[in-house]
Amino acid sequence: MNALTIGLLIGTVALAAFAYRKRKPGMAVWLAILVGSFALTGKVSFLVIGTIAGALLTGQPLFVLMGTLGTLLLAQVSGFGTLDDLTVIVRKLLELASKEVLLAIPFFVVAGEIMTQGSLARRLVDVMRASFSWLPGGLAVSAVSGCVFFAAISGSSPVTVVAIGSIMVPALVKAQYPERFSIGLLTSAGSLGILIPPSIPMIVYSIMVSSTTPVDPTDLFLAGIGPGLFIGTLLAGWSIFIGFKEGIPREPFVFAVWRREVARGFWSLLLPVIILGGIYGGIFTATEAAAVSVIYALVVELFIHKELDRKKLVDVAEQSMVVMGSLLVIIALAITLNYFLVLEQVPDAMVEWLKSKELSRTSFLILVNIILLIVGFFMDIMSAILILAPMLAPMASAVGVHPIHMGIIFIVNLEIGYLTPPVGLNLFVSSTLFKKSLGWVIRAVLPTLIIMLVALMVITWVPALSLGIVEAIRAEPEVPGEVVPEPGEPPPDSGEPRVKSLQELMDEAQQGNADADADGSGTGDAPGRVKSLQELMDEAKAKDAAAEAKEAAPPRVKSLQELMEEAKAKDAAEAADAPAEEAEEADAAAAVPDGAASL
Amino acid sequence: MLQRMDDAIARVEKLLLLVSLTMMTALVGTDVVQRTFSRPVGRTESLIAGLINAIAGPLDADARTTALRFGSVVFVVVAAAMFVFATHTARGVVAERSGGAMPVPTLGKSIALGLGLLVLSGIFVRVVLFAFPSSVPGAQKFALGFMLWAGMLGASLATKQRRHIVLDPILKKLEGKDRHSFGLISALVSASFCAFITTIGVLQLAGEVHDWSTGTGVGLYPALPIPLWLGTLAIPVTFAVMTLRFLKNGLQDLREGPPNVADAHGVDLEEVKKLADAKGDSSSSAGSDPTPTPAPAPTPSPAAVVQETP
Repeated sequence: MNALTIGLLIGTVALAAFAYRKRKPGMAVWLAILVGSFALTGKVSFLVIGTIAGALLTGQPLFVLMGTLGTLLLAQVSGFGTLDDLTVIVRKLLELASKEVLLAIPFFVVAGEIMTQGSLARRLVDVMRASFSWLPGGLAVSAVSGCVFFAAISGSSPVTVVAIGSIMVPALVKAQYPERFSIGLLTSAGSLGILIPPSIPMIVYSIMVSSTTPVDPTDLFLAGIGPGLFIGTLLAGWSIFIGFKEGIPREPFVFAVWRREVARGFWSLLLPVIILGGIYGGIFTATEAAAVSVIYALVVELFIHKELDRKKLVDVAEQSMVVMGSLLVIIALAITLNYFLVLEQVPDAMVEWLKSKELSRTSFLILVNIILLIVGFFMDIMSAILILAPMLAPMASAVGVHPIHMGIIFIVNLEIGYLTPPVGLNLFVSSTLFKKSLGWVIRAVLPTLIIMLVALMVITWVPALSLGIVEAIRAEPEVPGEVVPEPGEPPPDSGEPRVKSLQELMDEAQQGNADADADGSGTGDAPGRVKSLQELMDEAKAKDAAAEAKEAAPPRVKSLQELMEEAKAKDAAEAADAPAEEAEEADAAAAVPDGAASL
Repeated sequence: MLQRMDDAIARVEKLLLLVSLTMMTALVGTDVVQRTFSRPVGRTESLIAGLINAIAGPLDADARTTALRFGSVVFVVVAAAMFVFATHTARGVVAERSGGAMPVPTLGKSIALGLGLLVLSGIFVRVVLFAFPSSVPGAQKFALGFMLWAGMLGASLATKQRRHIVLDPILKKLEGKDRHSFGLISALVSASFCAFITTIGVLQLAGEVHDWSTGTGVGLYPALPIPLWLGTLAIPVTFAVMTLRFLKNGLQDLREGPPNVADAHGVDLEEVKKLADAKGDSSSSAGSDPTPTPAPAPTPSPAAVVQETP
């Protein structure tokens, strides 16, 4: 960056601040003129800064900013000059809509909203009170644990503040806790919503970094549990300290009350167990868990708690899809920007730059934390993920930071952003909800903000806190050989179908191709080529399905479609003089009549 | 007139949105049921066999078969217990709501009802497995198609309700006529962008319809002969509606000024204020009772309060 650029930047900021203080539209002119001067510093910076300034001046929706930025950069820098070329934006949007993981977002939004429509918050708070009120500062500990559980269901920080805060703050104040402590605690604990799974920002993060450093959202979910509980424990510790310090009277633990409240809240408490247990028990994927959570929430609120009627249900569907829609359109258009970055190899260039600076892992982490904390001051979490994650994630990888750990650092930093002015969302919500000035709420959250900063440091420098659970679960051995055979060996007695591991599939492919190369009978029109992962998976699935059908299905009359497919497969096998691999493909075609093999 | 047209379009959008949401939930839900209950060895069986293996060492074939059968029994017993408990809780809630008009539910009837529901669920699972022996064809793909429609319709409704996340720290500081005219300019810029996306959306759609119309099987979903362009159609249609809505909002802003429905971060502070007022009236009662209370207090709708998901 040359001196002229820096001068212009400083001048712009100073004049913008001056104009902002004057609260006159004249500031618009100032900004427009000065940002225009960035044209001198290069096309890209002019386009980026000019577009952002323009969007700010005219009060544009975030999706318009993202889309305009992407379009302008693609058209002006990457040479997508015609409308036909720019249809790539629509194709990217459609490509995004083919990512299975995206499906989890609307499902989690709907499930969270269904559950929070009813008396979920009250039920959770009652269970937590009955469980923790005997501790010093027990009511405050109950509030924190209520936030942790509520966050696991709703996935939203501000909603957690409203739902739990509106119940617990009056109760805490009545129980002689200082008002400032009570509001500060609930405002901070509410921010756990994005760290405790299921977390929508984590899903968005995994989508945004998928082109550079792919991260499985279920791994991020797992990795969020440790830091989430760690911050929760620190806040609970702070509550206990205040309980001691203020001499707040404790309540006795009454087992009968505890049992009654657990029974009342059982179905609400079970939802996180179903989601996480289902995902990590291997029963369903994150997307399927989200769909199941919708069905579960519907059944619980409609038929068990009876909190929903038809009108409420329609409202829930509409409102959650409005939330989803405003998110989807932003993510979709941010993907265009991401596409530009990858096309122009910006992340690679940044990694190269980073390498040239020879930054150590520690210096990089310090730098990243500072940047993200500053970003958290001025940007909401979604914008920060969409803009920064695709650039920072590969840089982190380059200095040896685990991609999952980086994701958690990112989320924790931005979680702190909920508590920092001028755009700290939880501050606004608390200020309005508890009828206090913004300054008062900021002072109230200061102690907990310091606690969270300490937690951030620990989370940053102790990767095991995030990665420990992931590694423990992922390293879990398979069910012993008696039930599931060792890789590469067929089951000894049952002939149960088994999906092969990636390694086995790759080995098979290499072996097959080597054979084909050796005898010159490679499959298809590209002899000796390495098959794509999709093809390999399709083959394995088809073979397993065929084996399963053979083992499990009772004898029955075959359908015309099946007979035709079988005949086709037989012909193909005979015609090619049956090299082993081709015969397998024909079997696959026979077993999956509607699948890709038959096409 | 404009408002009436807008309302009519919104009603159609809501209907389509409900259909899309229902379909995507049903498709993925059925697929999960199919996959879960068509496993040759269930999770409970695997877990039990693994445990026995760890404790007692490798089993012979007969012992293993017995262990696996025992797994099915455990699964059914746990499921039955859950159904009975759910039924009993639901009946308890009904009795509680009746304020004593209805008798306290007996466990016997809850067990009968719960087991009946378990049998019905079992029948449902059997029907699903009969209808889809290997998998629900194209479940995820179609669910994604419906999600695209639901999401885009949601975005369109968000425009009507002014629920998009807006970067308006500067716009909010404006006063009087400046605010009116900036509202119009803002809406015109947004409308232009949406019109641009509509245009390229139509171009993309035309290409896909052309591919599909060749009749060679190109442009179809892999599992069923449904054209891919049905998903793509969501983009030009909803962006066209959004273009018109932004223009309408612009005209409205010019006349009346932009409404304060949301701040820059998607929080409807007016709703929170209302909630605070309501709580303010009852806060003393909420605070005066630190013991758990049976009366459920409805939680405010998150969507009404917060417009941003995280």
